[in-house]
Amino acid sequence: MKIIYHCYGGSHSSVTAAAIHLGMLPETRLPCKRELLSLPYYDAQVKEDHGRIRFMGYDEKGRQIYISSKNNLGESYERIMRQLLSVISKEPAPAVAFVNTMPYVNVWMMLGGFLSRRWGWNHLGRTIIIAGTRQSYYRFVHLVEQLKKNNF
Amino acid sequence: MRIVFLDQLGVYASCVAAAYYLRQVGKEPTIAEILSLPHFADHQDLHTGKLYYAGKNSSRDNVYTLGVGGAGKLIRVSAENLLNILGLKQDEIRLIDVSDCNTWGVKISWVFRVLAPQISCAAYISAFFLKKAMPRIAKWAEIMDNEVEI
Repeated sequence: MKIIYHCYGGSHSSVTAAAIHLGMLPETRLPCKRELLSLPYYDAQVKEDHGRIRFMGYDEKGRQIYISSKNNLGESYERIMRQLLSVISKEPAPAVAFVNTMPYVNVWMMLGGFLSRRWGWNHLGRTIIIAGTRQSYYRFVHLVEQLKKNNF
Repeated sequence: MRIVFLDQLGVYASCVAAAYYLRQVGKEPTIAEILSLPHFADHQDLHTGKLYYAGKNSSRDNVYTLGVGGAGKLIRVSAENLLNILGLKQDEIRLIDVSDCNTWGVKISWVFRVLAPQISCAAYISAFFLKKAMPRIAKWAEIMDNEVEI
């Protein structure tokens, strides 16, 4: 089983959700700045990386957790990838879950991500992103809990 | 191997490119020939992610068209990575992005098609502009042809 968390740039919300899933971030308290910045790929992706599916780790059930970025494709990303899966895979289709983290992204994460990744204003951008990530943090925790509860 | 031609909606330049690749049309097709292609301009909305079967090539490989919005390059990268993580060979699938062959004239016709489906000239307009873009479409299809032969 493979779980792919995807968001606009594959830098913040998908990384945060994947890290919660893997136990790299706490579920019961807000993470600090250092914990977020020490995550692999957090606020590190560049435009050329868009579309790449990156491995984050194995969870407690041995499932492989990945992150990816999809720019403005929104819900279409999963639809397109599923169509490609149906074309390339033989029966039975491989178990791949695509998890969209964009609904949990707030305006601060968008603004911070834009400043940091697009304009290169890392210091200001990261301060805003971290505040935004902390604001939405329990939503990401809830998303991961739901995913695990539904036995994905 | 599977061959997938990509464009914004999977029913315009990709459809013509697939037809040219499959020898269903020549290098200078008429507008009527383009209009008669299966799935050509066959959409009621601007949603992406729809896959269309175009036929089989001389090597019996299945050929498809797929609408990927403006993200052909991104989808190629993702598909390549997906093959890797599934442990499949890279030559299981060939993706070719012809979305830049859908010129402004074709894109305007999409809007007509969706907003005013009763106006039947929308498909004609897109076929007209795709006929003009045929040299570029043919070039992409020929690149694919050469890759598959190799």
